[in-house]
Amino acid sequence: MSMKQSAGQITPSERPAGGWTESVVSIAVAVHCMIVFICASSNYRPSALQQQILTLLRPYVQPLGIDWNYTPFYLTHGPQSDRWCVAEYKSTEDEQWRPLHAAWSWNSESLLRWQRWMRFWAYYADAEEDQLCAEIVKALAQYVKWHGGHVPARVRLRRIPIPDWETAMQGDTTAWQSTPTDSGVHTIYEAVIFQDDYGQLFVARVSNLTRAAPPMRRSPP
Amino acid sequence: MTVRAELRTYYGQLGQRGDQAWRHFWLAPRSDSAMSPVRFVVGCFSGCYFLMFLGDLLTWFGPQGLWPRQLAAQVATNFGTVSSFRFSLLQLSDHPLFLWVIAGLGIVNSALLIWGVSRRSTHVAAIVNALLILSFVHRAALLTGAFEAVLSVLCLYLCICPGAGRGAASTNSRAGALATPERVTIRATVAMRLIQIHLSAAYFVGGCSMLAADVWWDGTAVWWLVTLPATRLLELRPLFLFSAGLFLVNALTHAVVVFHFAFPVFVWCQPLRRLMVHLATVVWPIIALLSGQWAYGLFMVFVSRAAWLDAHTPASHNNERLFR
Repeated sequence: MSMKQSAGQITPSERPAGGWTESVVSIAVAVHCMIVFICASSNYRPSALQQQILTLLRPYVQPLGIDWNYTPFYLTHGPQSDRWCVAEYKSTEDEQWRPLHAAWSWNSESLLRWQRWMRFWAYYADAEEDQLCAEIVKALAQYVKWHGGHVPARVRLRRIPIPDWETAMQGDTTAWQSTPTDSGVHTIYEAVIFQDDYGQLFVARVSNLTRAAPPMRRSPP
Repeated sequence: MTVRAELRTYYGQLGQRGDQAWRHFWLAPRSDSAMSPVRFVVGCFSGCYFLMFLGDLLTWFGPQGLWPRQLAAQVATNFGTVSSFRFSLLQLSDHPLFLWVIAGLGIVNSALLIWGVSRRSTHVAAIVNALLILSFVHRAALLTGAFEAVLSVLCLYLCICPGAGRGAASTNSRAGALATPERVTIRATVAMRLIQIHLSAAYFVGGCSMLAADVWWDGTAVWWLVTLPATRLLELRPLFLFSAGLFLVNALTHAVVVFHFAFPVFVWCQPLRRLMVHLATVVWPIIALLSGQWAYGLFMVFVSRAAWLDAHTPASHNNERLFR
């Protein structure tokens, strides 16, 4: 390919400044590529060795953002992990549940962010990390108060089952519904929110009633 | 010839050829105008990224946002048990004015990066762009996906050599002289190769992580993509709900996986490079339609073309400069 040149811009041919420059560049590039390879191979289910190496490399890879820990390059993992989650709240015990939704909810990047946030919440709710879930709920309560004027009384996170292809072919009408119904919906997390006189929020997770002790039966007299 | 002498000869020649190949791959100077197409694409999509965040900037990062700074710091450090080196300008304040200024700065800077007023200002714009993109990514890593992961890395490599002064004008300047004279430098080669390698890694990682789930093996992944309400751009389920629809689902699923492994291998072969890039132009929009990740899909289309097809070949050795 011929170089495009303008008058007076051509520099005379000359040897590189020194071999040491090329050596330094080569070593830096080689080390960086090795680190990139380690980070890329650790994207999904890293081994103990990979985790240990990444821990040592953390001061380098984290600021540059090249550690792709659990970044979802896979698009979907099907019903195992990708399910439709809905976050709902109600201001008082007597009210209907209201869903939270994204500002630009027409399948935009905004809606993807909402789904990632809810899946993050669902993951830790399944793992019973109640401390983290409580912090998420407190932030959610502050957000609802900012929009609605008062702290919600209850919040919940629900998971909506997605029918597979065979079920959809059989004409299951729930496959066409984009809004959740109670049929087949699983509540992952539900919590009650209290606010004291100083405005501090307290979150109490509601236990699953099916996991409570069965009622005691009285024996007939 | 003895065995020792044969081995010495073999490894000696191997070392020499490896050295020559390494020098040709990494250290052969090229015109920095080769980086202009990548800079143009990265600038456009960086601007899109900031624009897409405008609608819910306060929703996530505001004082009553869903992801406050304290919670972000707690999660990043696992409640103080590990060290975090993710720096973010957005951690400095959650005041709405501050957030709007940062987002606005990102949009304006993206425009400067696209336009490329001068070489020095373009370099500054590239560094600022990388800083802002990484700030958004690190502020809420849980909200990021593949698009942000690839975009942030390319923004970083662009700081090495963002390209010649005039943005898009220098990419197709076949007819006349460039507005800004070209510079032949090794930095352009290093930056371009790092971008190509990291993009190849993104393809590979995508393919490997897909195969970690059964749905990509049994060919039903595309159905789950089109069924999830969050990921639908269009209602595509009727296309697959007929007697042979499952075969179509299977074919698309397998095609996506094969493409993710084939592209990073065959794009390095000169005769097949153009074919692979044209294939990417077809496949990625389909992936974007199916998955709803239109930003990621379109970004990969344009950046794959810019990184492999529009990049110039290495310049001759008549005009050599190192690190200018």
